[in-house]
Amino acid sequence: MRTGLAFDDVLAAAQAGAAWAFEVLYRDLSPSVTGYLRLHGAAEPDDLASETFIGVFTGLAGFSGDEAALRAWVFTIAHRRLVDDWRRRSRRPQVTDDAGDLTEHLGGNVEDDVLVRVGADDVSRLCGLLPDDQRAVVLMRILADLTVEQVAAAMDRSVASVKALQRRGLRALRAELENPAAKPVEKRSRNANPFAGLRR
Amino acid sequence: MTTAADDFAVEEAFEAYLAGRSVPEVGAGLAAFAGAVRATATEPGRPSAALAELLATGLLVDQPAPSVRTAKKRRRRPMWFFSAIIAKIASAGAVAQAATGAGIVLVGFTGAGAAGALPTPVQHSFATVVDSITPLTAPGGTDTATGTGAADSTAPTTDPADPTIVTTTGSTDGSGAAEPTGTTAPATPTSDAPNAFGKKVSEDAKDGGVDGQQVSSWAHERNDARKHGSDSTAAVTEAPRTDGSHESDASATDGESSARQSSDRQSSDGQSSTGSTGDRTGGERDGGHGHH
Repeated sequence: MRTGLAFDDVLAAAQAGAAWAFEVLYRDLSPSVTGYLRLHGAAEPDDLASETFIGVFTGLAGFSGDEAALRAWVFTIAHRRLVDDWRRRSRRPQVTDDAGDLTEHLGGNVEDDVLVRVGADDVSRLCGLLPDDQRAVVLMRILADLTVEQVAAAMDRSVASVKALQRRGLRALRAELENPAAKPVEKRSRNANPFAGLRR
Repeated sequence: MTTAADDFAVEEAFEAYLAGRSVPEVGAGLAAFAGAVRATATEPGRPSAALAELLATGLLVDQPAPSVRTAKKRRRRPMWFFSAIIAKIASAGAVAQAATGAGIVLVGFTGAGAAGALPTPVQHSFATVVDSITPLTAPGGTDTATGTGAADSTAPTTDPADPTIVTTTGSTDGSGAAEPTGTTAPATPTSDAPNAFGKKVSEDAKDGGVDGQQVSSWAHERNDARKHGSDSTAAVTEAPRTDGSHESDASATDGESSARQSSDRQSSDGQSSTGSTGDRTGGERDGGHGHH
């Protein structure tokens, strides 16, 4: 683990309900989970991440596996919370400002903050150009370090389907990165049906 | 325009970046994008109130212990029962409370009496009362009740016309210990008869009036008397002290036969009957001591 503690010890303590183990797991997994939800355009990524970790901690007693399996399990829960959020938003369309969510945690050196802000804006814009399922595959691969098989399990899809989604997403990103003005990627609509192509 | 080969190269570069290997030129843009994505996900989100509480206090994990819970339920049941009873009594009126208290005392006294835990005189009285009003037998009063009942019940069941029964009953009551001696005379000659018989024959021989037939008849009578006397003695020794009816029956039977023997013999030998009386009386006294 990034904290330097043995994963088995932390997991055993967390399964016993130890607060310190919850804290370790939350600090290790929360940034990527919250970033995943934020880059997906969740209305309240922090609340959604909190719901995710409450579900993780309360159901941790029945978990068995290594660190990679725990990460995949956590992102599976996060993705399902995200899909639920999409469904709620499809019934009640809402307007959100993604840029504010991405930069609200910045602070410190002004020059670094500007660079990060630009980078964050670009990342948010590029992710916004991808369909939800392609974005989910790419972000899970990057943020959670999940394999294609683990992503397929988290999204309840086949491995071939995930590979196809990844291929199309990377092709769209590469085209946008090489010639951003000449070939705009199909822009997604937040109020459109967000689970088109998703299978649950 | 991108081709399948380009897509394959981009995917290879993407996998190389994720694996930490060097990224080819074709995938430099994607590697930069992936780096920027990871850079935006370095800060943990703000936990909600529920999650903050969970992180601060932990989670109390339920530990299944069905056997302990079941055992506790079993233990609670009697306590609930007694508390309900006490509440009922406390909420009742004064008369009901007094009646309940008297009932509890009576039940406790009866239980102690049935268990034989009362003081000796009280236990004796309790056993007497129980035996007289119920078919049950209480400890502590068994000897007295059995002895009295045997003496009382034996008399009417046996032949009331026989006077020996009356004397036997009287001996049991202790009123006349000397009376049965006369009726139970034949039991004793068995022990003293040889000397008396030989003495009598010797006297007749000295007088010169020895009659063989008479001596033979005396010998037969003596044998019969001895036989009855031994039966009577056996009946007395074998008769259990707990049952006076057998004793009375035996004495009555023996008395009936021995009365004839003694009546025939008393005229000739009164000494033997006296000796036998003492033995017989002693046997009855033993039984009488047991009853009293």
